[in-house]
Amino acid sequence: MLNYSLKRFVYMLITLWVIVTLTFFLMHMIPGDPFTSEKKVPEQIRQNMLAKYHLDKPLIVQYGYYLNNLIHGDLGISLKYLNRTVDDIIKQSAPASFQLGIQSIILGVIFGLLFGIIAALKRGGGMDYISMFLAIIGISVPNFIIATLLQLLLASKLKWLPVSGWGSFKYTILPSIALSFSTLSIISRMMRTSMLDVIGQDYIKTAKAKGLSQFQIIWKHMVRNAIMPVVTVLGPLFAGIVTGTFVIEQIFSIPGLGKFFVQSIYDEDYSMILGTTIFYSVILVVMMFLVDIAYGLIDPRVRLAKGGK
Amino acid sequence: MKGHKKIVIIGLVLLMALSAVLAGCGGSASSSASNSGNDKQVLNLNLIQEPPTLDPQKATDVVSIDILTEVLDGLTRYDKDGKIKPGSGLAKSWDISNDGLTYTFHLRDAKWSDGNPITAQDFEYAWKRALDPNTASQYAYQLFYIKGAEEYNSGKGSADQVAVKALDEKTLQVTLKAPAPQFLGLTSFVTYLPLEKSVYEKYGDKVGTDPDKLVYSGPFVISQWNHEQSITLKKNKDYWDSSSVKLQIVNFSMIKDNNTIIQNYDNNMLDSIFVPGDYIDKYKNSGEYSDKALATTWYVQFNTKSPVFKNANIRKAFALAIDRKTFVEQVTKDGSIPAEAMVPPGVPGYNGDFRKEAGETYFKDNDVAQAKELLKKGMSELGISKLPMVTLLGDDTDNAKKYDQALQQMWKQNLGVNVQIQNVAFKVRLDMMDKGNYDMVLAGWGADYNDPLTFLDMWETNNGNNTAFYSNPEYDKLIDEAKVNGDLKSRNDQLIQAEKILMNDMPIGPVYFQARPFVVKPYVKDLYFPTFGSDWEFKWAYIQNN
Repeated sequence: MLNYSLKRFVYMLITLWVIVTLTFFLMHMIPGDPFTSEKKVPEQIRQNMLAKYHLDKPLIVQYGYYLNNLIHGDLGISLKYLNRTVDDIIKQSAPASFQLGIQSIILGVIFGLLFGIIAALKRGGGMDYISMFLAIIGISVPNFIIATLLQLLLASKLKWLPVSGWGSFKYTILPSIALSFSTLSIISRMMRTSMLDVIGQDYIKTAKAKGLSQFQIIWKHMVRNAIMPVVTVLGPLFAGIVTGTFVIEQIFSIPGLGKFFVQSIYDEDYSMILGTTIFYSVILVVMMFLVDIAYGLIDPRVRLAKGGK
Repeated sequence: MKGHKKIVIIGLVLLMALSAVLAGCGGSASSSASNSGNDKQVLNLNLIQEPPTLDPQKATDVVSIDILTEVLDGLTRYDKDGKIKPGSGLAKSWDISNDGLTYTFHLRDAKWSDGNPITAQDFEYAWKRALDPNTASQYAYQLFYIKGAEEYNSGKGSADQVAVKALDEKTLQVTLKAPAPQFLGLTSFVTYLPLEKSVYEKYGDKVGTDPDKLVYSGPFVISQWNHEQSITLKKNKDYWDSSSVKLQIVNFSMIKDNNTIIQNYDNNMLDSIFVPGDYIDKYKNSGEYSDKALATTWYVQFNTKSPVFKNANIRKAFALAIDRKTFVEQVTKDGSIPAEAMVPPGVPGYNGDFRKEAGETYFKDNDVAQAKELLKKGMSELGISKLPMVTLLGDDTDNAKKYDQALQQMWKQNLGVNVQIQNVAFKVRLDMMDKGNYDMVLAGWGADYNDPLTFLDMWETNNGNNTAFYSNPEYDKLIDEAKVNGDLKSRNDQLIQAEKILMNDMPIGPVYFQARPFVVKPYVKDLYFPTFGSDWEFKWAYIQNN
């Protein structure tokens, strides 16, 4: 197991290096630079600015600087928010995105599993149609429309919840719900399909024949077997959601990380582009690793297979 | 069947738990909302985004300027009526030498928010810091009017050779390299705003990153700054003019989404907002609606190096074929007014408004007959019978796309010309303009300072902002002379002459002078909207009968 983890860790580092390198050279191909501005500044001032942030050096030298800083855990200074470091910005923005992401995933997973399971058990019944209808709505209606509707109804008209902002728990409710819809839909559809697969298996018949209670059959035999594909998508889904979502955070004016992924590219804020990319990649890679471990916990066969090697 | 029921019951319980949470929070939200309605001197505004920096010498954008001008006073400060007056800022008076080159400012007794006196040395230090090449200040050039400034910034001179000197604690002497009537106004601009010397020395590049890394000299101090979320200003008790300041607290949100901004205004969470384009009709007749002129001109800029637009007659044809009245009434709909000149109204001339002194218009709006004539003439001058496909470059924002399509339609209809549209990201557009990779572009220019020169000197040959690559020696001569002319009357005449030449050669076809619509709740009084610089001025604002 230690050997396996070590190997995975080295692969993770190589993956990150490839991502950083690709991003670094791709972003420098965007026309313009961070200090391109509508009002031209005298050439000497431009040179002063480029020199201060080492942008006057050849690209390969800048790349060397960056990797060196990165190894020392330094993501550099934002070129838009002069004087603020990328580390600081990520540290300040990530918690809001993280909280929002976790809450929405919990909501989405609980209700997604529930709907999926019920739909599968009641295939062709009313509950099946209702939950699949919800799932299709969740997939086909963009979450910013759901967000705007929730905001208009529950905040603006009924005044139950704040329209926007961040602070106490009540501010997180609407965005969490809006954000959970897509997770809910993905998971419920997936769970339904995979449950239907399992229901037809012989061991379910065996379990029934053994006289196990309905609950035990569903919980121990059906759900546990059917949940594997869901766990697989949960990794990347989690990484995508907890690192912030541009649209939902903008609509509810949440000081999260989401906007930096988009805005930094428009600003050509090189260090910020790299910082957000690295942050996202690390979480994604770590999540995939955790998913691998979770397989073993849920399904003993996976552990055995690995042990066999 | 029993098991099914269990699952359904678990689901129901979860749903109920969720709705209980919702309901519980709903109660607290509405009660806090009703408590906030009172007569406290609190103003709530939306900054839209995080200020990139609150280091006065590094700030260049309007968001940073919005905050800085309320927490720092310069030598001068624009008064309620938009004028610079002795005593409206930290300088209680000044003397200007007869040749218009030497300014001697006499500072009032005023204190920084940490209790230390504000001295002339603080100004000298700040200005030289802006010019120091190591500071790498983008707006260092705003100080290039001062003798020795440009030399120091470009490494050809030293800090001691910059002609700004603290004669004593309360007297600051500045010598300019040429007379510049706009200089007094500029001393209120961010790059000229000082901090205490010790603060600069203590925090260096970290100045202005957090409220404790600043000292204040303006009507307000920053009491809280939650990055990307909110900034709270509170009245500065040590401000020299604190008796004029009635507001106790100013809360800034940073809401970017248009619909959310509107919802917040309608729910009284914001007291004044700038109205996004799509919502103008909603407020237009509400009595809370108004608009402010922005001292910004939008124009179609032609690449005078392009095979088609090197011809002046074709440029003019395209400019005349624009229906500006329809454009501002049906397309921008934001209170902008048609532009038939370069310098917008409100910019001072010799005695009054430059626009009035130079004449309101240089050509007729929507002059289709003339435009067709000119196009024909231009094409025969170029020796072509069919116009090649030309492209209009624009930003990839919703508004820009709408505006570009309107222009495309007008050229199609009035000239029978097909124009292609290319929408790209802002910085990409700027890069394409710099490199001359375009035919036409819809671009805008806002005033750097309150003088016609800011709209005219950019069209000089080889000026970095002249991405039309326009060149006319006669024009250059007039601008060069005006720049150093101490006789304000003849200077003004030279600028009028120059604008006339520009409008005859038409490297640009003006389209509209931009306005920005806003709404203010009726209980907010004396909130001012300056034409350039910051978005608001709320030094004198107060809340009444809320």
